[in-house]
Amino acid sequence: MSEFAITIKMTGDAKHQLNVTPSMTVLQLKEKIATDLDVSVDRQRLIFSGRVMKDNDTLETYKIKEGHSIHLVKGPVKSATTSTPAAATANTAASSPSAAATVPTNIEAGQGSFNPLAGLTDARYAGYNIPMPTMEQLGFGTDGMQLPAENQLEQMMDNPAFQEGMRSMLSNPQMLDYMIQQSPQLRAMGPAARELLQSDYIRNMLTNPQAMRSMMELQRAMGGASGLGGASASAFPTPGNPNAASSASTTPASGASSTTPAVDASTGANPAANPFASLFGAGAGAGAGAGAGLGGFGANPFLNPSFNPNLMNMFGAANAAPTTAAATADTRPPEEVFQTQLRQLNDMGFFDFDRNVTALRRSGGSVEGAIEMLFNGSV
Amino acid sequence: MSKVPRNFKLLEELEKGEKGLGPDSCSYGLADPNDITMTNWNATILGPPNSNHENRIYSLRIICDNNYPEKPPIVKFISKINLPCVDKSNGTIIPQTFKTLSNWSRSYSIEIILLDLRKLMADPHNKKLPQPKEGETF
Repeated sequence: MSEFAITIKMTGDAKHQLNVTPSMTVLQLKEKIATDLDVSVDRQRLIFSGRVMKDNDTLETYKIKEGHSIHLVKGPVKSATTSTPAAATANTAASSPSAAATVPTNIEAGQGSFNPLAGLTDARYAGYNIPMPTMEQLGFGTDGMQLPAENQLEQMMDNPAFQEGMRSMLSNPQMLDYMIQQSPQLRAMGPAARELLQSDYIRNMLTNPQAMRSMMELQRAMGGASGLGGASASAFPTPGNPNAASSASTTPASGASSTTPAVDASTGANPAANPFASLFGAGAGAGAGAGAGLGGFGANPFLNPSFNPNLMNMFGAANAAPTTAAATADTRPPEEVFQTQLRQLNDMGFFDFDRNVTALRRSGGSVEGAIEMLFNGSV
Repeated sequence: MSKVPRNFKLLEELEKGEKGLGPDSCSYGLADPNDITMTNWNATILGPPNSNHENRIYSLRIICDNNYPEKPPIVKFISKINLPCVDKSNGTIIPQTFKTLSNWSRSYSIEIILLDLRKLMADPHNKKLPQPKEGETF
């Protein structure tokens, strides 16, 4: 029997090629998946063409051919609580257990030896209790697509407690090390990176409400331009692009880069992502417990392999505690979030689901914006 | 706009289903891959998270007769489910109670039906409805 390649599709966009033979049983396929993808056999549920595959059937029975795709659904984790200790500890303020359970387990992934989230329980953060706006206040309440009012953001920024929180984050050498460690660009800069991050300029940029506000206005005036703009060369760097992060520390024009994602991410279909974390990088969606993948433009690591969510994310991490409560709704898949828009796009003849979703994410749910991107080929 | 004939449309849907080009949360394909009329389809919906359907896989049967896509297909749950639009005795979706079928447009597809059903499961009114034990069928 000749071998051929099929695709295993896991939830969360991960795809894997596997070589199989028609005479293979489903159980054998599961064993192969278990070794290749590290998902134990008893947790695997395979679906092909609308049928749940039975262990004893061969692939031939299902008429699986070259290029076909099998959905892999992971069954419930046996001990859900043990897999999210980081989430649980981060969850100091909003300690509802269900919220903790929905925090993606990848919150722990790639954190290196220093886990900034764990530090949230430290005494030094205990007193801050940074007041966070509720989702409703930010306009995420009903349809999750509205822009937060600028003045509300400004109020938030004006809050001395918040400013204090930001300052302390930036003056914490361990946190700086961590940020630098996580960003290849900053790492390459060597000791200069730390100086830059600690410089008054950067600190002011991130804590000064007026600066933030003017950046946001500028961003809004630019419209969706940043979504369409080039990568690092653009004056308004692609949010989430690591180059943007480094240029933020080096050029004056860069203020925009740290605020750009704020608007993008908050317009961008991320109803439950921590709106505050997104102020400091759309990447927040990927790490700070806000639910991977649904973030605004740039938050999708699959789109941008070099994307480093962690750098700016750190600012979001400070707020992880209040976030987790809100993160519960974030698990909605894109086809639900963009349901009406996707249908409109389908009606207009755009059938490529992945591209449509990408375009909609970048356009913040605007069909017109998405079409523009689909046409000019930027997605 | 010219109308896509039934078989072309179904072929396109079949390819999308087999190659998994659609969303992760649902899957569909011909019940009998040799059925050249492409009438009987199997489908699954992965229960939406944060609902009583979480981690469940619902199987459905979809029948695209000769009137498809002018008329909506017949959609039937094989797995037992408690949803307002599903006939409790046999799992058939009552078209009048499911907007996607009652306001059918020929541009809709099997995938849209499945996604809309999944959305219905996640609807605040429905997501906490008591559900029969997993694995039971109509």
